[in-house]
Amino acid sequence: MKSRFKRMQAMLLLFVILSLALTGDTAVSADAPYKTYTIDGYGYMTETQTAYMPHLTITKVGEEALSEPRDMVISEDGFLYIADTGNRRIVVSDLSGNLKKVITSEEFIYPCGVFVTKDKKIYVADRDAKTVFVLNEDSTILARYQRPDHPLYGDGVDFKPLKLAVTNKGIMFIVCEANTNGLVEISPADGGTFLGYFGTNFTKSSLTQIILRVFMTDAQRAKQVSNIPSTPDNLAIDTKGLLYTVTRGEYYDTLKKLNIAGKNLISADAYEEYPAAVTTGNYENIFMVSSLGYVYEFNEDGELLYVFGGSDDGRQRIGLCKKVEAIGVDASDKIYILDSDLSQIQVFAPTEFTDLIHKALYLYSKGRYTESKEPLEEILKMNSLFDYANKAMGRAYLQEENYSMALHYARLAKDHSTYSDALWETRNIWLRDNLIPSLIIIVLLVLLWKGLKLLDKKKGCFDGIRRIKVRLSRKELLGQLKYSIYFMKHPIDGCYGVRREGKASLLCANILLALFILFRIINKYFCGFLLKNVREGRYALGSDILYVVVLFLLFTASNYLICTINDGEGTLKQIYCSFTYALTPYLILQPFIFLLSQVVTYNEAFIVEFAVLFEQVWIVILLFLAIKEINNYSVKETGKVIFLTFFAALIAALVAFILYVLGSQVFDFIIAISGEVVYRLGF
Amino acid sequence: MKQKSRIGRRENSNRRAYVFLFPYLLLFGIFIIIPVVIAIGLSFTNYNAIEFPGFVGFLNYINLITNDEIFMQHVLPNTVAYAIIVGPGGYILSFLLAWALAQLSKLPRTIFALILYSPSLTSGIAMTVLWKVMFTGDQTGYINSWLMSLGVINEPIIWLVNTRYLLPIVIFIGLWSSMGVGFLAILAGILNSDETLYEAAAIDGVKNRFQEMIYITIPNMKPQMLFAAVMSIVGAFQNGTISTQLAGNPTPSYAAQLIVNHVEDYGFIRYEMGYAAATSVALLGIVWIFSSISKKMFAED
Repeated sequence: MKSRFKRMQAMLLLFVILSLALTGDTAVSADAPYKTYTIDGYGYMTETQTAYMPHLTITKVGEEALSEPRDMVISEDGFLYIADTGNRRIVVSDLSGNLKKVITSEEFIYPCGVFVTKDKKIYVADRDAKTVFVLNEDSTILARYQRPDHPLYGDGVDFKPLKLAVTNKGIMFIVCEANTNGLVEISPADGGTFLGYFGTNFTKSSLTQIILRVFMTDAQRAKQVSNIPSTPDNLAIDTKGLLYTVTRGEYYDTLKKLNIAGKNLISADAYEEYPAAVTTGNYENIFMVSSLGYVYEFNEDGELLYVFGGSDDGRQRIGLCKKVEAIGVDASDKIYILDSDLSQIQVFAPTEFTDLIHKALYLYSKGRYTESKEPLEEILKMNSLFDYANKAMGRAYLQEENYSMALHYARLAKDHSTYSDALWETRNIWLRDNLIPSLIIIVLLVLLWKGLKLLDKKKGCFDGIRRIKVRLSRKELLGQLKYSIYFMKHPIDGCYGVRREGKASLLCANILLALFILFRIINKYFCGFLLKNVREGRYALGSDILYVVVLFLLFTASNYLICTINDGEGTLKQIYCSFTYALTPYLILQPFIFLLSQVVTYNEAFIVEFAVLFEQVWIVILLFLAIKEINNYSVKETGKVIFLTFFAALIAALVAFILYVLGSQVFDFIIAISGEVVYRLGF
Repeated sequence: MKQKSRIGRRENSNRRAYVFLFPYLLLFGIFIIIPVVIAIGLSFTNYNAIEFPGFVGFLNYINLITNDEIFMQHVLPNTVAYAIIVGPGGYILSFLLAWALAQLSKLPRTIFALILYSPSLTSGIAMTVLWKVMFTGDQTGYINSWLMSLGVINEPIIWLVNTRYLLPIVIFIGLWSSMGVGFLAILAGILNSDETLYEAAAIDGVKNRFQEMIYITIPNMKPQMLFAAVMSIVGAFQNGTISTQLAGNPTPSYAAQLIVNHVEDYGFIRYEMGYAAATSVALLGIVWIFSSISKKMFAED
């Protein structure tokens, strides 16, 4: 009851806020109605401080209400140019919603795109008039650009401009409806010269399509459903003349930053299914907004800084949107979002946290690494888990050549490439300082070893050690352990030893398996950072041990069961022992790989990969030969038995699962019965 | 007594043997030993091909390991990757192909052996008439044109400049041309093995060709196998012509720079002979280590 009351209260408050908001422009200081997320080093979304607070809602420009506004830009001198499509006009407003001017023309039918250049020329894309108009501030039409009659424009391709961006030289990039060739690039020369298509998206062929295309005749190919690329939905241009496009349904290429050659320069960390608009900020940062009102902020390289915002659920809370059409950023970093459904503009102001991020971005992009660390440290004080700050910190330290700190921060941020670079430098410095002494030590050790050998030959001073060695190898267990090395090198002979000569024991096999598990765990959690596959600071030792033991026992047991009904000659003990012995290459090689993994960078990581591959192939060969030799099979029979073993293991796992489900049902039943009994007896 | 002792002396002294050895020793000395010794000597100097070399101690070696970032970041990893794949890969290929060829009758065997052996002889010509045409960077290149007609790529890839593809291409061509002397030695070894052994094995229960290969052919030709292994590893480390012929020296962004190219770069482009000599001595050391490892592996009995 109480909670309902609270909700009522909240509704009431909301109503007050809304009624305030509806009456005009109101500054609001409440909690943001949405959460702000950032991306962590592992690529997961995590919540962070609010980056932008709802600041203002502009529902009317002066006294002029908007109707279905479709586009908005912010001019360099700080005015909003809104394409008020429903009212066939362009509304110019200052940043707090006071009317400055209305630009209109008889010829406007559906003005849905607007752009303003530095010299105050206003470009209007009109979909239904099929024209791009250029106007000056006094609503005089300076030029009209219509469908280019260039042969390369394409036969029967209509010209329905939706959005546009214009370079300083007056070259227009136009998004056209139903034109899949890309952005239409028109130069103002000679009353409009078609320069070509720009920023075309490409279709992607799946592997099946490629294979089909190899085998199909031309006639068959023609019958296939044609594979049409999607057109960019919106675009923006930055001060350097780089073009940004957003495209629906392109997944990882949703956001593109195109250079003059039309080549995409970034691969953004996040993608959006319904991107609506894109713009750039004052620090080369990129903003993308989805139709539903989610705002993404990226740095210049497409690394995600924040996602915030959300969809209006009908309560019209300030800061939530219904159908976003455009986004703009002013000189003081405020974000303006145009909502066509609600015909209003939402304004978001950056928080202190975001200001710090922007400061750091600015300093870093200017190459002032040392200075950029100050705001970053502040950010980390506010949120030490903000991985982007850790990452930037690591890079700043790397630029400063402070490699140990760079390693520290890169590891915190899981920034593998910076970590690799810093590790390379650290290692190089170590080599430079210690190479000569360590070489001398190695040479001395070799000389010492040779000298001792010589002495041993003459005087026999190692006889004592040798005697101990002989005595040790007579001990059964040690002999059996040592046999695993022989087994690894000579698997066929080794299997004979296991079968006929009693060279293996259960105890020894258990020790080998335990060592295998131990090595695996050590390697999993403590190998070099660059080759680590698990999240740092998370340990699941129980499940690791259980995983190996259960899998190994399952495989052994089902193999034994299959072998006994397939004329196999091996006993369970022999199969178990030979399987554990087949793991020896791991025990021998993994320590070296482990040590190597501590010092390799991405430059040499392939050596570790090769070594791991070699080791795995070796183990598989040993397992195969073990099954074959222990049971005295031919190659074909072995293959069959292995296949059946996997099948049996699968069935066993299925049975175990069913038993578990049934068991838990029975357990629940007993619990319920006893609960009932307790209830009836009234204890 | 005197007579006998003179005869004995004559028989015991190896003078005549040395006389017979002399031509070989002379040639070997002039063309192998002296250059190697000179190279080792030069590696301790700052020789630049114009001035008289001055002794600098171990400076070249220290610089090589600690100051030459190109060597440590590109050249060494590239060389190791190339040698790890082309050495054993070429060796396995040589063995399998030689074994397959040994199953043929004489005439086709000779023809195929010649075909397989020719890439290692004619790699320079093949590079210009075959691989450069295949990997041309515009749409006229065979591979680009083929991939574009299938719709795998939309615009031609500049294969021989693209740092991502250059090393794999060099490795691929290295494998293609790896059927060298080692291949011939293995072929000879397989052809030389005793027919009676196979018959005996067949009586003892060998069922298929694979078992013949494992149990008879390989144990029978250990020396040839060792020779081929050492040759392929040494060859893999010393090969550098492919990348320079494809992409020039130095290769773009050092993407396929191997140690030999690095030596050429310093020796014949920058004329830092002392440093180049030190690099080649380092290469000698690497080759020596790897060939002694392969000797250990293949000659354990």
